[in-house]
Amino acid sequence: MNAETPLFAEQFEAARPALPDGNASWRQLAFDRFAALGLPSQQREAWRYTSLAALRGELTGQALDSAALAETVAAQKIDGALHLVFVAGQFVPELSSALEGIDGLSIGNLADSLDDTTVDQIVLAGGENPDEALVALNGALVSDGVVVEVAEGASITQPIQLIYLGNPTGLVNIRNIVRMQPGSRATLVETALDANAAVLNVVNQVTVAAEARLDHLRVMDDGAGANHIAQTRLTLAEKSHYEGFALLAGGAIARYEVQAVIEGEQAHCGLAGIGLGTGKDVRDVITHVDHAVPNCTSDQTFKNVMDDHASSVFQGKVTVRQDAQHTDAIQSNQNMLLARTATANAKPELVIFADDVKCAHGATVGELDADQLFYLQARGLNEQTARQLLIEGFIADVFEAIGDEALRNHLRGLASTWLHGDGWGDHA
Amino acid sequence: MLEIQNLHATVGDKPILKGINLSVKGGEVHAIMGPNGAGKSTLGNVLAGREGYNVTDGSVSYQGKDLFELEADERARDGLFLGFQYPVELPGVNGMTFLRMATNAVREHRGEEALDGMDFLKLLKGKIADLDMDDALLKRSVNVGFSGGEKKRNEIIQMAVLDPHLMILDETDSGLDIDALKLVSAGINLMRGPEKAIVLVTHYQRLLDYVKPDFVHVLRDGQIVDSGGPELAQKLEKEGYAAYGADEAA
Repeated sequence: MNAETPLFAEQFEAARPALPDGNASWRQLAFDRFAALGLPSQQREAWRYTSLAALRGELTGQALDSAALAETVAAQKIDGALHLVFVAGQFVPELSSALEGIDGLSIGNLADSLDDTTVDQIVLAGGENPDEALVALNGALVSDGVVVEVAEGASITQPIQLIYLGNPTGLVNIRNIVRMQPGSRATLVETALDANAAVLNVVNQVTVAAEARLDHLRVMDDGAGANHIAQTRLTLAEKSHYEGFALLAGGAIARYEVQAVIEGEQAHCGLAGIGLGTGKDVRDVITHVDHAVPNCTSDQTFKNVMDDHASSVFQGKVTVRQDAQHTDAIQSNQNMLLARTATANAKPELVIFADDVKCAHGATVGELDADQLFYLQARGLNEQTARQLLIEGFIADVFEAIGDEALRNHLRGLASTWLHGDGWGDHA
Repeated sequence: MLEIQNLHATVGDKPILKGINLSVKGGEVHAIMGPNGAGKSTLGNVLAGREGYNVTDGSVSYQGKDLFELEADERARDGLFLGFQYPVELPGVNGMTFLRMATNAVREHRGEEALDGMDFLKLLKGKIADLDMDDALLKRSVNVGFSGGEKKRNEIIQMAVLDPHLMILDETDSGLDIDALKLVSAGINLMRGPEKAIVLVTHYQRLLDYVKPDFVHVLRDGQIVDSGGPELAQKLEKEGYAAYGADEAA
């Protein structure tokens, strides 16, 4: 039993009545597991750079006036997408699209979709590893999320966009369950914003069946004080394809964790991301791609730009099991530091048991190049503009991982807006 | 246009320029020639305002203003253009975007309206046609993966679009085959005009077959040791820099 458990137990009991299925025994199961595991301390390698101190504060919050947020939401909606808006962790139908009537797509908010299958999936997620304690905590306190199932062979052209905002002080737990049936296709976008001084704990459980493809984008653009912890658990079947992209731009802490298990041959797992930080921001990326079978590929490309006292982390692990011959796994992490006080932590880890594989990883840390800056200034651009142009140039190729042009431009625009914000790039 | 008086400059602690005097008026083309290590590139970098090049004595006035009062980007917006000996690669920076931003920085400084994408494209197409080049280079990241000749052509395109007053072209002819040399020279000649001045910094005479200078100067050990007309360049081509005490064999 962890020393902090009594506090969480109290909060758990207080929160239950307001939660969907609040008094169900499965919540107690999840909580008990969390209590047994305890909050991961920074002594643990996977949590070394992410402090969970914010969780020790007040965990219950006040719901906010959703009407006031409508305008903020409107600005973030991707044109043509199916929108699901969550305010303070609760689905708000009035701000969301109609969810019926799309062939091959079954979608609903989790609070209204708690059947046995879904509950089992929630409770069984996360192992008996202390690093996964927040998955268990999420299970105990989950308030809402989405359950998506794309039918066999169906191709959903409209992106599905989940927007999280207006999270009050406290802890918000969102769980999304995505089931891609064989040969199906879809694009999921998660946009988190305006979540000051909150802990947003999002767990995604994604299964991609044979020959299916999911493109999964995350925009972590939370308010300055926010802590956003996102964990994706992913399984890939034969000839399936997953492309993940994350923009870690906002929040005091933005943590993006993906654990992918490739279970079917000729599958591909692509993970890409960009971390932008200033002040004392932490941008923490943890990946584990587990190649369990032969003839699969994975590709990881992460770039960070850190200014002021910000720090970035990339802990990227690739496991190639003994049977997984002809695996082709590449991993790259490049960092640009704009100030002497900024930090980049790169920790690639390859664990290879098969003997006929191609695995490569590379990590670099650099700063803005004086010759490049001078070249731009010699053409009339002021220093600030020149710096921004070079920083945008540095991250430009990562966006190529986004196949859809409109979404690629949307993400590029968000990064650009962030880089042109106040106080950015002034700390050289 | 440009008045250089007794200019001394160091790179690190090393004195490179040791008292340069040069006067360039509108409409003139000057060639500065000299052996390797004479200080030719340093002169270009000092005039353009590169960090690490320290002026220790002397003065430079450009269009009546003290040049050293201006930052590198201000000099560029005021119409001073340095054509780089080694144009820098800018990964991820689109050539078209970069050149439009630079053009608008210059235009706004001149009190002209910034150009939107369409108007800029129109301007660009006109300049590119004059140069007998195409805009394929501008669709890529600036200078990334360009051949030596492509980089120099890109410099000429930028120069034509930015329409500067004073052009200092540092070894613009190096690394060019004869066809590229003709193309680049034609681009330089297009920039000549009564309100324009060009300073060609070069090791070899061959560029001067295509861009006829009004004045030729010999730079040796940080000083201008000889000046004359175009015939001086031809003499140098035959006799090398040995007459000026240089022992180089290039």
